[in-house]
Amino acid sequence: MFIGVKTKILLTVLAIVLLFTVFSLFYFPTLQRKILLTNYKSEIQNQAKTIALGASIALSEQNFKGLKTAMDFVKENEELKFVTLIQKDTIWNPDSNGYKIEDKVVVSYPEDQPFGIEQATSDSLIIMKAPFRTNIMDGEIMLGVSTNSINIRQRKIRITALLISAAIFLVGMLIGLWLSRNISKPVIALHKAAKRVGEGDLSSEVKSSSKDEIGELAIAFNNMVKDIKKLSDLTLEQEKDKQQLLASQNEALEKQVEERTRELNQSLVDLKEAQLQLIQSEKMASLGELTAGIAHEIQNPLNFVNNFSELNTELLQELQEELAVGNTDNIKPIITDLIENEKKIAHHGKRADAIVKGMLQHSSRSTGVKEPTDINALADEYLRLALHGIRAKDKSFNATIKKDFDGSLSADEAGIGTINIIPQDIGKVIHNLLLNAFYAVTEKKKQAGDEYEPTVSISTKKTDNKIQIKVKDNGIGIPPQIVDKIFQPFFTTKPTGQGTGLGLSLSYDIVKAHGGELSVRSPLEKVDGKEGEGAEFLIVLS
Amino acid sequence: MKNYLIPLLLLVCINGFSQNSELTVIGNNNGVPSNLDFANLQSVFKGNQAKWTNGDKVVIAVMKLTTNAGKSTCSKLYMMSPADVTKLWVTVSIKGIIDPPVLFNTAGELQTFVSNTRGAIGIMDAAVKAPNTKTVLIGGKGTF
Repeated sequence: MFIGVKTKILLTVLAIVLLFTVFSLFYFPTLQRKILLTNYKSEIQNQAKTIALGASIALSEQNFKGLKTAMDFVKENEELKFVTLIQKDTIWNPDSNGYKIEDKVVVSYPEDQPFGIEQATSDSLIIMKAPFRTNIMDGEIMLGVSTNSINIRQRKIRITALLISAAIFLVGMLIGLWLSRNISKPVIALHKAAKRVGEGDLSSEVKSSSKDEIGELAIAFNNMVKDIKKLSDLTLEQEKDKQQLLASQNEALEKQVEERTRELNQSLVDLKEAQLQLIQSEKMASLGELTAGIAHEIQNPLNFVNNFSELNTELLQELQEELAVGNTDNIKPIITDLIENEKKIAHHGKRADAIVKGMLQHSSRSTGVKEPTDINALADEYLRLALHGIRAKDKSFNATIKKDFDGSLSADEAGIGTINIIPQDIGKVIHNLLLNAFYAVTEKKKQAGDEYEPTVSISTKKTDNKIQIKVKDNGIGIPPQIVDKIFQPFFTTKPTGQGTGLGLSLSYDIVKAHGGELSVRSPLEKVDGKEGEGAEFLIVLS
Repeated sequence: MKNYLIPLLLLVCINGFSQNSELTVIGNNNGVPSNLDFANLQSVFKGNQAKWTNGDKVVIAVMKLTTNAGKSTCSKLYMMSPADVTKLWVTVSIKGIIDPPVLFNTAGELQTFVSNTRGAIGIMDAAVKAPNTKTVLIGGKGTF
């Protein structure tokens, strides 16, 4: 809640005035009454003593002037209610061994007063007693006086206090108003000016003629506003300069950004081109390796065909010679051999045909259509192709190949056991993994020497409606720090020209496209206390 | 014992004689009536009457109670002991109906006072000789 200075001053003055009024109206009259009562009691007590003294003199000296004077004096008091002379009689008991003092009223003034000797002081009556003792009698004077005069005086004091309080209240309020006006006016002016300054009006000025702290405050405020204005102007100027500088810098920066963006776009285009080239190279490399394998595969049946063809040529010449000489007994076995050879030629011809068809199938683009595939046969076929491929490049390559195919995945005559995949794509993945395994064991062989026995294994397994294809080797393995990067495009540890870094990346994408997972574990666990080596790639297809 | 008894009886007799001396009532010529019966006299001296018939204030004058006349006044007029009379006058003083009595040592002083005070009435054991005074007859007698 906001309370203004004016209100605060008024409230303060009001509080002081009210405090004083309360004091004047209640405390002061109460105190006055107490003082009056005390004095009055003392006065009454003195009067009672005077009468008692007069009575004592009268009784002992038979001089009644003093008593009369005292009574005359007391009777002048308009508030006198009664004067009673009490005699104290000693009453002995019948055995005369004990007594009691009995009070007896001798006389009262006025005679018809209603108060008894048991009467005690009350709010409206003051009772005072003064004893005396003579040889004639012992007794006391009891004086009763009304408190009316005190009450009247107190009322007068109250009225006076009320009038004084009212006057003080009035004067106090006038002073309060004057004070609040004199103090609050310049303060409010200062407040308004400060508010205007706060809103940005630095031309505000406070006019104050008072020669006190508030006047000095007004002068200080005006000086402060002037200083703020100077500072503000300076700051604005600096701000303007900064804005200009910033604008020019922004412009330069925008130009730089545009230039950089252009360069980056160009780089992106170049990179895409390079990527396409690399992918093409990878494909070509893959195709080359496949072609090498296929060529090696074809060479074998062609050798048979050529050999049996040459043999048949020789047998036909021999048959021609035998026919010329008419030796029919030898003709029959020759013809039998010819037929057998012809069968072998036909067999190996068909075999070559099948290889060529397979090559054509590999060289053709992926159809992108899934078809029931015997995964064991596919793995076996690509193992063979990979082996031919590596041996075509490296005649000395030799490794123990282990195969462990799950029988439940082999297709029977009814086609049960097949899985739906794109065989060309999954075949490429298996081929890539095998080639990498061959490379790893070859490199390891170079390091380890003759004691090392390169081993590459491939296995399939069916678990919970999932197909696992595992390619494992005991080669150089993959360092832990790069194992997370091997599926990134263009990442390779092979020497320049030997790998594009796209093989595993493409394989990963193919498996993902089949809704499967391709993971790696390397290096493998320790064997015989030696640090684990090799790698294990696992394809999981749903 | 006999040696002491006779003087003691004599002393008592002398004393009794002296306390029962003849008393005369004296009054100022202004206000005080010339005749009063004994009851009226008692009433006046007990402070029961504040003013005479002419309106003058009643002023009582008596001999001090230690004098023979005073003692006679106690026994003959008040029929009380001096102490009771003193208490009576104290009571009168407090009641304030009349002023308390003025006490004198000698009859001369008393007569002078009565002579000079309007409405004053006194009682003494001597003949009235002062001017402006008169003997107040009590039941038609000059003494009692």
